[in-house]
Amino acid sequence: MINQIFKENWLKILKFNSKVNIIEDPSELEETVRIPLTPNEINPFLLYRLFELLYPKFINDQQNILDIVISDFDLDNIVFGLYLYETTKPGIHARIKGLPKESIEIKQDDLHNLDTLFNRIQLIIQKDHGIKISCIRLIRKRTIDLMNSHCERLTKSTYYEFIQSLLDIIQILLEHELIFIYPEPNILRFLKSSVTLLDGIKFSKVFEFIESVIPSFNALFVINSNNPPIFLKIKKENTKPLHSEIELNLKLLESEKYNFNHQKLLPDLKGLQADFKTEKIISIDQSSLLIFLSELFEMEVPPSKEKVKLIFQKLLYGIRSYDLYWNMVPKPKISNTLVRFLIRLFGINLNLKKLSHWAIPDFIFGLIDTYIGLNANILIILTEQRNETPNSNNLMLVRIENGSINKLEYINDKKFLSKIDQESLESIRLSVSEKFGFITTVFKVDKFLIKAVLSAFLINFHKISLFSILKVVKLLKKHIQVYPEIPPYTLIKNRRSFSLLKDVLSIVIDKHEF
Amino acid sequence: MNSTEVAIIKSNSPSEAITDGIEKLGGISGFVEKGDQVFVKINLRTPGGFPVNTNFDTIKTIINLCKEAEAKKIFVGSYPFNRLKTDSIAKTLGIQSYIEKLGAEFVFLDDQNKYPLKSVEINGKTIEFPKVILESDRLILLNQVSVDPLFKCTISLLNTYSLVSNQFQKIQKNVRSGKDYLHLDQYKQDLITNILDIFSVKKPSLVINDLFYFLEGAGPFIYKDSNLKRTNLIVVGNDAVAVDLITLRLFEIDLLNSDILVEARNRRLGITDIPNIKLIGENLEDIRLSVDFCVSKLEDINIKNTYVKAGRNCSGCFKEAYHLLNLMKTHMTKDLKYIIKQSFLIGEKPPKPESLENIILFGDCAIESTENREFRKIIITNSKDYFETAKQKLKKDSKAQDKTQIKEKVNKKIVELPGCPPSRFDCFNSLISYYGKSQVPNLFFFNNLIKTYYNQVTNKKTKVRD
Repeated sequence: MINQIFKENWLKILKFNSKVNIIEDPSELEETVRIPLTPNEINPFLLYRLFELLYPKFINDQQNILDIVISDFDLDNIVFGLYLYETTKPGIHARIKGLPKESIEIKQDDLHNLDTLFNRIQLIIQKDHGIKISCIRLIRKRTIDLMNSHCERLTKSTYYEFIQSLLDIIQILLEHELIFIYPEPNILRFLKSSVTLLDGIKFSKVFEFIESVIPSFNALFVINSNNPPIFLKIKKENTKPLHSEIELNLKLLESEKYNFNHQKLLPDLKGLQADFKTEKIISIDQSSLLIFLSELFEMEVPPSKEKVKLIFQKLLYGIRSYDLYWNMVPKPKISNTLVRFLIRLFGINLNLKKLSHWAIPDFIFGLIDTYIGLNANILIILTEQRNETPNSNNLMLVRIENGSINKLEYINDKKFLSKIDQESLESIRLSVSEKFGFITTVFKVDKFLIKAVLSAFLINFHKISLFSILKVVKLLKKHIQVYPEIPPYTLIKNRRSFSLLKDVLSIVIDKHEF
Repeated sequence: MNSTEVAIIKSNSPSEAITDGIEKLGGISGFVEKGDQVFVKINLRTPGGFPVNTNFDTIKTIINLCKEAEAKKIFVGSYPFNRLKTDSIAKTLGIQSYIEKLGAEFVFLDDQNKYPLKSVEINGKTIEFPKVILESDRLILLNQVSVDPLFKCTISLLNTYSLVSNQFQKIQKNVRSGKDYLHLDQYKQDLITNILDIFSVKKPSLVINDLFYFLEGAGPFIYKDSNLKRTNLIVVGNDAVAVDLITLRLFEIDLLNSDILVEARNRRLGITDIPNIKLIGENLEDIRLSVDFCVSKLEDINIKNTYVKAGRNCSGCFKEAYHLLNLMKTHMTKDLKYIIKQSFLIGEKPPKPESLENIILFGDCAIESTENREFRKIIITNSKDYFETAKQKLKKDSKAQDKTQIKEKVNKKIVELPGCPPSRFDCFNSLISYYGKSQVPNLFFFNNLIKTYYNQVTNKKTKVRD
């Protein structure tokens, strides 16, 4: 029924998990297992650690799980298979027991009331097997088919293709409700609502766009905790004309070699840089990262304006907490006191640790509310300078209600797009307004600008300087167009780059050094 | 006319609600006839987003309905908010091409060459009206309803006020002999008289109060405390007073609680007896809209590090101070933290400030009535000359007691914002020059933004004692 390679790998994982306590040093094992549904082969103890860490945090923190494979059609009993996992530790799948499928009877209508279904199943399992289950996972037969075809493609596909395939499967599962988990974890609810918000925009398309704007990089992320840290190496090389080459590697730290001493941030990052041959190493405190992510997944989608402000504030707080929750090698230039002092001579305060996380969201949202409005339809046109063929632009509609993003729509009606006169933003706005309701503002952004911003503030974060920011401000003036001209855009356009930067930095960076 | 019809419509979209409402009142042909010239009066307050100005989708609906009725010419327009030019607001909203594409003409009312004015005598006053409005066969009021600090809601009667330029909207302080200007709230009385005078010149044929999306909390501009509530309702009729009365009733506001409607009743400008209003659509008694109105006391606007105290004040100063304080709260997050402490005093004989630093005196009343108050002066104690005292003590001079010298100095930590009422935007310049741009970076940036569309004039009277 299920892909043989996937099955064998899964049983191997279960076997390892069941004997992990009796293995002397599990991290030193030579054998590897594959992360389910991915091409990555890793140490089984690392996978054990990941499950131990992430499953209770994001899926379910109680023991014993029942997997139920169900039919896509309406039958007298839609159950195709029952698999009971008795877990001694939450998230650690160690033993699997196949149960007779007749032992539980489920109809399609039962799926509308998972509360009742769960209670009924729990009583049956308790009576027949003497254990209490904490979670049921209902998987439609079509999910297995999708997983099988994905697994078959894995051996032949590149990393880029693998990610796209995985994202497509996730989207199909969510859109067609092919998987149910009860109690429903926040992450699943978050993803389901995100699919609704995106209104037909494919996750894989979003990934394709992100991939296309991120420059090449080679970075090692070190996730620190009281246990030996986990390494995630991500390498992206834009060598191929169509898609870049991506490489992902997960590893556990060799404690002795890197002088690991149960501390928040790893001390010897430079040593790691040489050993892993990466341009940069970013060390992140694991617990802070997990807290942030779990708060993100707890968020209702579409989120209220206040919630977005709060999450944004937390993200900014995380960024400003350099040396506390994260650090990196090479060190950011702006963390150098002498550099900051020299910049300050020009009247500019540029200090990462003084990022005004408490004031920036209010500043940005205040401007959006005032000049865009509480209800608005924003049209974003993404252009590509090098691609001058007509209709090569991507049109995205952002619908805002009471200051919160309510819906995102991707306009891909080719017949409609071919009729649009793409010469002026005014005419685009009028044409789109006719079909999609009044368009408040049109933003035309070139991919080149997004690339430049990402390169300056993300990939080359360590190189941020007064000049690199000034360069971005100049590009912003050149590669962004707004119609109608809202006052913030007029100000950006008309004010000298240096003065504008000075004004903005006085808002985004705290004045007082101490 | 002794009776009228008003429709209360609930729908899934504002455009559907308007079409349905007009249909229920007999169709657009009952309001616009073939060959008519129609002027659609909208809200065009500032270059801000919805709901500061009218919903553009509803403008489209009205234009399409007028075209359906075979109107000869459809004009759309309004005078914008104080000292703003229609040109700058139209550019910021991109409204002209949108209206033209729909088959109507957007009117730049302040362009007197294209749209000349005509003098009209009302109650001994001469007011200049744009000819295009006076000569139109039909006037349609398309009004966005939000909360308002003076009149609870921005009803359609208030919308008619911007049929004339700001010059004729301005209320001059006119103190009648023997009458207490503040006690009688003469400003508000004069304002109501002015609004109704203008309303009486050209009565609308169709009035739409669009409260489908209602801005509650703080308004009618978008502030930090604003919240957009979806009511799914609109109120339509041909009698503005009746439509406004029914609109206010939806919020459980009676005629007697609305000064402007009481005055309209006294002047018989419309129907104010509910039995004479035939209600169509939703049942008035079934709808009770619960919304947060604007604060009635300025002290209730909770601003970080700001102590707000008011003495007796007129509605003009109240309104401007209300907007200034809300702008501060919305756009000065960082500044308010840097300032640490400020006192905002308004009105006649306001209570004393919390401290002697950063005192903002808002309006002529506050400035004049506090001329001799204690906080205008600060007492400086000269530091002791310890060396001299020690020397005297060694000489066993009995007179060598502490000789603390006390001096009185003018308190320079005061910023005066003169005017009755002062203009909120002009106040920004005074505040920036008082605090310095490094202390108020948010305000400095916001002021630069405003300069891109607002014609600021330097108020020579503004004094900053620093």
